[in-house]
Amino acid sequence: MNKTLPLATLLVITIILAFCSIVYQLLLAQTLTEIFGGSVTRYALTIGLYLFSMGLGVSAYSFFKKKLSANLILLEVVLSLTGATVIFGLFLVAFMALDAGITSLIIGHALICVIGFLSGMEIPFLVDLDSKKRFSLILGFDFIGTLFGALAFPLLFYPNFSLFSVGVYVALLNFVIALYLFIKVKPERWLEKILIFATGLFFVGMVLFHSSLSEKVMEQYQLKKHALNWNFSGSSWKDLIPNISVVDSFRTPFQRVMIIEDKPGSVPPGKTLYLDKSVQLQDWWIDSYHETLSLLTLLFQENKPLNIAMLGGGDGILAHHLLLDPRVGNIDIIDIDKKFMDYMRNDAHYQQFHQNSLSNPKVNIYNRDAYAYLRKNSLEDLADKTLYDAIILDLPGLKDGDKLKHLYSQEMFTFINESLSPDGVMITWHYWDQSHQAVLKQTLLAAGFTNLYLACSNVSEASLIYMNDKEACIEYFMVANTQQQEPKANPQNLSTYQQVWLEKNQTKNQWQPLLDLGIRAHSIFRPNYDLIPKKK
Amino acid sequence: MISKVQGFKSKTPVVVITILMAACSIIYELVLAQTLTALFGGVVLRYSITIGLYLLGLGLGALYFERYSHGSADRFFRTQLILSTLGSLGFISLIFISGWQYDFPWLVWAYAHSLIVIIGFFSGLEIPLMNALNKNKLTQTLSLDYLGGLIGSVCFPLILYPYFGLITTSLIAAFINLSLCTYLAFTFKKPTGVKVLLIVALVVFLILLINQETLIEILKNIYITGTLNGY
Repeated sequence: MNKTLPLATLLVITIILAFCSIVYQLLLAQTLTEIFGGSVTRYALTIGLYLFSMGLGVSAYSFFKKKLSANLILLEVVLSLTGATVIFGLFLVAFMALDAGITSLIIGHALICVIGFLSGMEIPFLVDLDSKKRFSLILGFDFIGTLFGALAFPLLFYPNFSLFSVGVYVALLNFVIALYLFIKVKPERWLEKILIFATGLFFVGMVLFHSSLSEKVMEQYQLKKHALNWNFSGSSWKDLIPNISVVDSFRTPFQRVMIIEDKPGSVPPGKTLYLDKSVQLQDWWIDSYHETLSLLTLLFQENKPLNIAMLGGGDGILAHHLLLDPRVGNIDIIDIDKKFMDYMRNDAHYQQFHQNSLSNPKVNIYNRDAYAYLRKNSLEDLADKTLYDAIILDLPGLKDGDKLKHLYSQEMFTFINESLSPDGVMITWHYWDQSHQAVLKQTLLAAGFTNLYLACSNVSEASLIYMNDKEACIEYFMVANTQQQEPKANPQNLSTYQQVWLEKNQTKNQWQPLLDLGIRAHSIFRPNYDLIPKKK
Repeated sequence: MISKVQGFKSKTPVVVITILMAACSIIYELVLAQTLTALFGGVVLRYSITIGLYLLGLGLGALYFERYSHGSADRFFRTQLILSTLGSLGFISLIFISGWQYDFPWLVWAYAHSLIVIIGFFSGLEIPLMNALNKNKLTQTLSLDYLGGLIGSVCFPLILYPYFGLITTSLIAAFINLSLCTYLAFTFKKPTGVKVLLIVALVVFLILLINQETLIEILKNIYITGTLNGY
């Protein structure tokens, strides 16, 4: 391709190609995060590998230029094919290697290098297509395209489209450039003609079928993951698959929501709701979890109208259990995800658990970031500050590693402490993992809490059926405050489960002082990754 | 013009300096991306925008060099000094502002994003400057620069951020930039006053690094309470 292109056309192409290239990169970083968790590592490594391989691409151009009789069309076709299939490839590899792990991680990072390398070769190609070889001008437009892509991905593409669709349509854009060059340059060789035709057909197929194909891929991936996670029977995951199905799977601007149903006869039957990689609700412990959490909230309160804040808890189930006690005067639910809350409000299955509590006049909903909300509240003057009798963290798990860890930081717990009335309590669930517990305790101490009350839910029928041990703990809870206290007034309208729990545990569990464990508290400025629970 | 530039005589300083400076640049950017994530939430948004603005800054720096600048040891020296200052004081002042001006999050937001572009700009400028000092062996300079960037982006998530945290990491990177400055000051025979000042600055950084726990506590306190109470 020895022709040149008019400058205006060339600059538009430059912007589009740079745009595609950065979107591929961010797409890969996000896909790897969704598969493996740990966004900091994924994004940092993606940036580094991408820039590095782009550099290699630029350097390699001079080698390829002569040997391959330089052909931008070929490059764009390869790049668009890679871009359109890469997300599918990653999920397929992740599916196959779910129990192997490292293989898909390596392949994922290799793909970043391939796309970076190909994108790197584009720039010198474009410079060669300019009659005056204006390198800096083309580079400047390349950076503008990159900035567009870096803004469009998080603000437009990621919140509104699936990762698969973004990959396919951005690759299509890449292919359109190849097509344009093809029409403009009219290459002689049959190779280009056949390639363009075949790739064109491929994209027609992709546009038509990618969404059903991606649903299939995601479904198989999630079913296998679920089967591996909840396998009490000890049989192979393959035997469990016929008994489970994905009921619903969608993404909100903040998280992936997925509901899987285990058919009767499988263990445990019922629905499981996942938020990203963490299990949020399972039918077989939904009541014991929320009834224990609400009981712990109400146990240490006086006989007065109670003002309670819930961080997360957008499913409304905990609110329903709290509202059964007439002392509860106000509940502020601070949950960032409006789309998830709306879904839960209207879902027939979960309605039986939350009883439309979100529409109760005592409930105020703030669709805001809990961290920012409490930071602002804690920094207000005392007169303007809202003080709560209890603040409950009903948040998704920490399996993703980086996404939610600021909500368990020294800073966050300090804002919580500052927003509590003098004898108010903070309640959260936690993992059994020992180092996770230790960091959590140390962080609470650093945030000014002095006492701890540990509890767990353990009298459910389910614990007998599925865990074969009536005493086995299903969920673990921590209550923290700044002054030791006894239960003050008996919570009212207790369920049978709660009455049994009180009889069994009231004398057994006791407040204990928070001790300095000599480890580092978890801070937003200096994380302690032991907070993240280890894999089983 | 370029042929007159006093360059490095041996290859070792070129390799070491190019790799280190590239690693420092990307580490500053990752520190800022993670700080923005911590302050405002939304990992995808923060990292994406940081990458975009960083590359924009890099491009602007390279373009500026081509139009208005030329290679000189002096300019390279100054760039390292500016990056060291921006990376350390720029970052620390960001925490101060986010503590004191909590009512104006947009101010913190704007400040952090300007830092990303400005650090990107000087990082973009340092590459052609280094290239000039490396007798215009562009491919070699660029390869070393990419390698440094890769090393920085591997070290940040796996070692620096988990074990040292954001504040100490920014200090370590700034300390490395400052050490490069000091080395350049001796190699290119800067006035004695400059050398002494640089050594004093290095000692100050060392003291800060040794007492990092205290510094972190002070900054945390400012951020949490919005005041200097207790210090």
